[in-house]
Amino acid sequence: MVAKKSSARKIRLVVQIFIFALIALITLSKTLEETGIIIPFLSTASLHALCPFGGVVSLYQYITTGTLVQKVHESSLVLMYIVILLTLAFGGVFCGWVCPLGSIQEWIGKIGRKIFKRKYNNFVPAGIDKYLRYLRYGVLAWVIYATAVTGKLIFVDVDPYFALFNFWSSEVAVAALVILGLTLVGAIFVERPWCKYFCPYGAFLGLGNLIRVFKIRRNNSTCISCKACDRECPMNIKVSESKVVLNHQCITCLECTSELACPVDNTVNLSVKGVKM
Amino acid sequence: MRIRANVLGILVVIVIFGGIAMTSVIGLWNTTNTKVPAQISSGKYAGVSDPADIRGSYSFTDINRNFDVSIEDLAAAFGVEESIAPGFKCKDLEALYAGMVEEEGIEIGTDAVRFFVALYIEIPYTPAESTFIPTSAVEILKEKGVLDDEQLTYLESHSLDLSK
Ligand code: SF4
Repeated sequence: MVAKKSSARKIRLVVQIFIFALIALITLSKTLEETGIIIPFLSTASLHALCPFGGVVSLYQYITTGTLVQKVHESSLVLMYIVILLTLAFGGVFCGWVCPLGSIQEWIGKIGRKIFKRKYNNFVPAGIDKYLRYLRYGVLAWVIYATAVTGKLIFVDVDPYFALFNFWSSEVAVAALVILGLTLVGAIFVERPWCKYFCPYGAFLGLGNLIRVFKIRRNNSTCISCKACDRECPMNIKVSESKVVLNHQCITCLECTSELACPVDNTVNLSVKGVKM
Repeated sequence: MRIRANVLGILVVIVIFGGIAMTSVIGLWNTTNTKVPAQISSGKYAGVSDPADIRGSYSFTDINRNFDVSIEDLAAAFGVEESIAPGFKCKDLEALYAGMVEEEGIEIGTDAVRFFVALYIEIPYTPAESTFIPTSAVEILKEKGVLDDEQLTYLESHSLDLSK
């Protein structure tokens, strides 16, 4: 059982490391290309071209003028559609499995977990935290509005994801570096602080949790109410209090499921109702 | 039906990279700019390429192709050597002028190219207050006879002699 659990956790870690390394290598390849050095077999696409959020913020301009916002390319639109498809099927899986900024916060969080033990990820009082979780929708509204009005990728000046992979470059705004620094330091105390409170793309994808096909479901009849699922959830979702997780913050990490935290077989799962296989 | 972690991991990778592969085959996966600016959508200049949409990644060749401004004029206007002018990108102007533009709040970059092109092809464009163009660019515009009095006055306070 223990071996099974660790392999379930490993698979997500492998995907996260693979995507993180790939994006880092492509960014390096792009930088080296500008100095005349070419790394064989590696794309030299810009980070903007590989960001699905660029597609989302470009939508207004794309619909009204048929062009994309400056720095955004067609590949961003393609990735946007791919991620929407994944989200409709599995909810916030992009955040939990793919996004490199989410991954690095999670890895840093492991240090915080070691230092603070059970206190980790529980520093923000629940009464305040509950409201702060909606802040990211304000950020999303601002980004979409500002991009539509200016036709520019306004968000890049505060975007910690862009700063993470370009911190050495003069293209990165100081504000973005400061936000990246605060996010990484914050991750020692709170699991994924950027994702929880500020990420506009997480806000957008989180809406998919309400309508996704495969949902996190808890079987009431076999549940022993040990609350292991609640303790393990990085997004502080009370899995034990609902039969189906519809929370907009779920990142489909599967930490709460019977493959990982839940000690009872087949009790918390990512599943679709009524379809047997 | 339940989805296990290993299946979900494989599905995520397949959907992302399969999607990229499929769109590459049908020519939709494009990670570089098409270098075709937006067109002005209404008014007297409707249908004309919009200088406001010139991006930092545009080379002088891209500008020449889209706006019919000669590469020689662009090179002379911005003090770029003719040998490197065809591939010279607008965003590289900032590096070219780093150290030469000493006064605070003065920028000669992509917006300066937008402004120059707009004046050159006689299309209205409002540059940022901090945008300046070199006096060599003003000379070219004067020679072409495209500037009116108001524009000449504006350029007196928004041009910089970089030849010194
Ligand atoms: S632990 Fe469960 S409820 Fe919490 S984010 Fe992960 S999948 Fe969603």
